[in-house]
Amino acid sequence: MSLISSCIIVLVLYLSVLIGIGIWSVKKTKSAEDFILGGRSFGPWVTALSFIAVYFSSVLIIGGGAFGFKFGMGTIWIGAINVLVGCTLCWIVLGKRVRLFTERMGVNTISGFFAKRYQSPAAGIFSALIVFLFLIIYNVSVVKGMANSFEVLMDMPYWAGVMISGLVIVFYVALGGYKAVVWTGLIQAWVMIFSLLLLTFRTVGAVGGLSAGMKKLGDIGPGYVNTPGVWGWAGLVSFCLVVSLGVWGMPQLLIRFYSIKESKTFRLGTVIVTVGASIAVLPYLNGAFARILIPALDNPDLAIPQLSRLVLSPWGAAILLAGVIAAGMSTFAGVLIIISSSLVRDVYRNGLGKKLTGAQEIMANRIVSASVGIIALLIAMKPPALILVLTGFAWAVIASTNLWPLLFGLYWKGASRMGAFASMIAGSATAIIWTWLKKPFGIHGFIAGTSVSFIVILVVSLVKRWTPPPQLIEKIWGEE
Amino acid sequence: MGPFNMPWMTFSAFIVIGVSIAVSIIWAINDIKKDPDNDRVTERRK
Repeated sequence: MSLISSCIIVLVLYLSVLIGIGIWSVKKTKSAEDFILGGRSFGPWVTALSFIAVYFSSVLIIGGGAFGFKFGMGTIWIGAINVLVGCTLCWIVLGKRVRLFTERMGVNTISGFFAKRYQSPAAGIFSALIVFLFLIIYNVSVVKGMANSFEVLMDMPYWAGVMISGLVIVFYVALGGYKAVVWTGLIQAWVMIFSLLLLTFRTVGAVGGLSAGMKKLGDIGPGYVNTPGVWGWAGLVSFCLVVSLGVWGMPQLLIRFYSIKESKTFRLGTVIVTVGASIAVLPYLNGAFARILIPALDNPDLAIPQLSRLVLSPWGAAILLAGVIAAGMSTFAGVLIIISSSLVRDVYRNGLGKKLTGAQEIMANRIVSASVGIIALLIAMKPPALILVLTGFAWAVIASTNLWPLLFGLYWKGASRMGAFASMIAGSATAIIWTWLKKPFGIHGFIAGTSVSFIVILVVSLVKRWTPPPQLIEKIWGEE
Repeated sequence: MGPFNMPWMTFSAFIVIGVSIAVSIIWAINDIKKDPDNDRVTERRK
């Protein structure tokens, strides 16, 4: 059977399952809380695996392979730091506390947390707008990654790849809300894990085993096996921080914490997310070995798609395509639900004080998520060129806005309203300006933005003292 | 040179993953011990 026929069969089966979950979730979505949070009902497996699915988008598989190809085996450190900082420490430091506080405050979004914790609707609206704007940029890059894979593996026109993957996501998110996002995320995570393991197994075999592959790579150039290798410390370390610590301020990932069933769930969840996320090293490893197998490759973004054509059977390549699509879809879907809840609940309902019944709020979320999804697809039709640059940019701004106000808000009662708001504005502005200035001194916009954000919230909170009202302190911290 | 012809600095990335898994398990066990609802621990405390 040809590659294209195999891909069509695998994808039709896979997309049918996703659409089926979307239809099933409609019946389970009875309130706005169900649509946004799935009624805080999820266990460790589904939460941890959907966290992985949203974290590691198609940008990881395609972009990670490109980085491995360009900079060599030292890039597996990015995957390792993703596991330690982006998953294990993130779950330990933020998980239980985020769940506890959002439940006690009765909020369902990160922007809602800021509005209530700092008694500042303006902070909530500002955060929601930053999330809205920059997650659309992020989603465009995610769709591009998926469509490129369709192009290479199925010889399909780029626009068709955008439409097929995008419209299925918009369908199941708009219908099924967060429940559909989480349950499809579970399936998508398994598809990603299986397809990456399969690719790695075959690639390592094709280079003659891990030791032989490393030797061959070292013969091409010692920089391709060393750390930091041809990239250098500044590039490697700052990129590790962006894509690992940046996660701590990403609402589409944090939402997993407040939708979890109970605090105990974090124990097994933390172990599952750590073990599962270990696949994050595989795209880099495969990308590095692609230099041995496809030395004449011009475009590093094609390292993984071309490698899969070379080392996998048509069925294997079809499964890998499903894995790439799965990675992109889960991220796109997770982001859509965050954007719609930020706009409808934080900006329209809480910020502007508009009243909505439960049914109206569900309908508003459906309309917004479908509209935003279609806008992102239309932008993705003619997208900017560099996937990872765009993603790094979006992550830098969102993380610089949310990261420190969230951490300080959770762990320090003295973090003030003015400190948080000033930190958000200064952090996001610094990240934007820094990136626009083309990263002076080679420092990433994320490092500049979060550093400024940290200093501002600390200094302003110390200079202009403010604490939340006593009843709120009692409510949030009272039973600690 | 470390295992699999990898320089130690590169191979250490795998050690970091192993450490992460160990940290997650130790944290989970500690969390069970701290939880007053945990029957076995409550029993032992009595």
